[in-house]
Amino acid sequence: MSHYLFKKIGWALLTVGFVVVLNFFLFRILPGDPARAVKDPRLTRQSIEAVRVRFGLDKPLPVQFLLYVRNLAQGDLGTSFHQQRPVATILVENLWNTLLLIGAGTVLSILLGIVLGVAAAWKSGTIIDYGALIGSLAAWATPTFWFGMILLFWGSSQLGLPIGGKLTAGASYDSWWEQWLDVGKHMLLPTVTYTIIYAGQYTLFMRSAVLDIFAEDYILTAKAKGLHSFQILRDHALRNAMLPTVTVVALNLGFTVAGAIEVEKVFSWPGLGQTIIDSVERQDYPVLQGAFLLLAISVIFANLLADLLYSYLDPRVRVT
Amino acid sequence: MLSGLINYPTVLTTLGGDKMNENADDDALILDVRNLSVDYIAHGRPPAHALEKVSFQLRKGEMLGIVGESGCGKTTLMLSLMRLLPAAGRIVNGEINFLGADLLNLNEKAMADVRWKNIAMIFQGAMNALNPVRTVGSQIAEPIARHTMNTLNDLHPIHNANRNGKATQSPNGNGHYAGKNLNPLRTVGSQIAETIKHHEAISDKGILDRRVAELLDLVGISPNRRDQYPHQYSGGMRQRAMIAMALACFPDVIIADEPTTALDVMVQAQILELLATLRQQLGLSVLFVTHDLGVVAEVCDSVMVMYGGVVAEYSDVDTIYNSPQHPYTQELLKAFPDVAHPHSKLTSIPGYPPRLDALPAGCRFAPRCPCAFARCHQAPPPLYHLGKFHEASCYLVEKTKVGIQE
Repeated sequence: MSHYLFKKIGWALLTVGFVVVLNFFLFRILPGDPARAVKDPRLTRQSIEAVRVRFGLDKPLPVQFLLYVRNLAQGDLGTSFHQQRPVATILVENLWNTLLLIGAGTVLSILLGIVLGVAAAWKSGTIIDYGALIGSLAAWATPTFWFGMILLFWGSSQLGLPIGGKLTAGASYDSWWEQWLDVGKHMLLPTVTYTIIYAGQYTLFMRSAVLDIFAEDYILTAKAKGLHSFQILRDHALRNAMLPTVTVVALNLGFTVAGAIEVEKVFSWPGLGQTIIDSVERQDYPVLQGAFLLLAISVIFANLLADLLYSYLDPRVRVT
Repeated sequence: MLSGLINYPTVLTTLGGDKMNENADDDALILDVRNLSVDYIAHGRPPAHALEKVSFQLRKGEMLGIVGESGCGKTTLMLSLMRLLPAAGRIVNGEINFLGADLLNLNEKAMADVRWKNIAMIFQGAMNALNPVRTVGSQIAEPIARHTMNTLNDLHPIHNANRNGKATQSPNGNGHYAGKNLNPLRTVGSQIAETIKHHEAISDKGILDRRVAELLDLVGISPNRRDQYPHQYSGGMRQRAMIAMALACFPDVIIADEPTTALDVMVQAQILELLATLRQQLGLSVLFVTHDLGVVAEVCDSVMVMYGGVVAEYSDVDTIYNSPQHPYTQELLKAFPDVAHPHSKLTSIPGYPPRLDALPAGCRFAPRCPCAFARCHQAPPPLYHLGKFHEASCYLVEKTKVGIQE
């Protein structure tokens, strides 16, 4: 087990190293001089040169790379061209907001997807099955931004929910829970959007996994043992059916750090996705570079998590 | 209960025939299947008659071999006995009398109580029949936990309970196992503990743990391997574990559906020996399904040869081997090597068993039969009685018949 663990972690770290290298050079071969991002027509040539020196862009590429790696090791991701603040600070602020949103959305969509998927498979061929199937396909096929806008329109006009942001602008709060209540109100619609879109996918995966398992010989064995259908579902089908679903969920987790972009944009949620869009528009390369690194690392560690969860759920994977 | 049958098959050599008088209430009779017919229903197509009027009996301690090619209805027969046919399968006719009660009259809940406790099954591919993500021990413990611990002290309590009409009595009514006066708890695999927790009938993990160890020991597996997973076992061990699992609740009948098919010859021999030994020790009644006539000769008391969903020939093992009457039995025997005639040539039967949804009008074997004549193609032959315990469904034996069974 520990051997397996070390091997997996080793590979993950190696991949991170590769990403660091790629990520650095990716932004150096992009068209345009990063210094030009500091737009101001009044700047003199000398001033621009000063900016280049300030961001370390005057040094040769290998030196820049070594400096980048050294700074990275110290947790320094550089300084934003636009905001003149450390990239790490900006990313961390927004990352928490993103994690709050997709954390809630992921937990809810997994629960909803598993329950619906298992119910559909268990009652296969009934109205429950068809309902879940059609609903999930529709949810999966619906564009996130469109669904978000419909919800936003409906929620803000009918339910009086806020139309965007994380907090009501200019509001002051008497206590922390009032503030959280406000956050909750702002979070409700984006979370629902995210949940429904992803729950559809998880429902379909779970349903087909459980149906596959029901055709296995050991389910016949379980029936022959006289177990009741609920026991068979709980003790023999669920854990086995979780295997393919765990993979999908874990992979999604990595991508949704970035994949929440649509939801964040529609609901003006101050998350990582929003930051990425803004930075692209402003050609704020240091922020983008940091964000890309963060996304890559989250995908790699979501993969690692999937591997480890898999080995916990499936004893056949444990032995190496 | 046997008054309806004439020429009821009698003495099986191993069973002490003095007990079994014709027409008498046969104490040793465990399973009495009569005229069992099963159809597979497919949408918009004629039903496939997978079994037609299959009748046989199984007594205590008897091992009945059921042989035939693939697609002859052997597995369908076994699954119908446990009422575990796939959704398309329907039992359209017949009776499955088990200890005097017709299993076909039970509701689903009562049937679930009979499964494994009274009729257990050894499946053919032990790799697939065991759940890959659960330990072998937990899977053996599972039916014990499911079917109460009543069976642990008394070898055949169900046997008696059934006759008193209390087969489904709850173990909670039996204060004996209330648990407080039992051994201190011992550590068991987490899954066993979990299983037990959900079955209020079981209050002592120690008993369950010990029972699993005993069962594994019985089939020659070291009990400390109980917490391993099926993939950590060899093919032979998995099959042994499967046998241990089948024995878990002291069933009245064990159905062994080609238990040695996937194993190499040495392991196959070990498994057969194990089955034979266990049968002697525990007085098991076994339905042994196989392709292999050699194996049948070795371990079985009686043989039922099936072809295309009907009984071709049914008798004790000596009769089948020494004077087979049905051409199909004869052809099958020719396809197996015989040590007494090492130079005789092995032959195969040309063709395939019939499609069950397009059966021939006459005898189902007629299209492949070397002896077929005009009548064989017109109407299916009835099952002729050729002696006290010998039946064959072939017009060729008409003259020697003793009676016709409907």
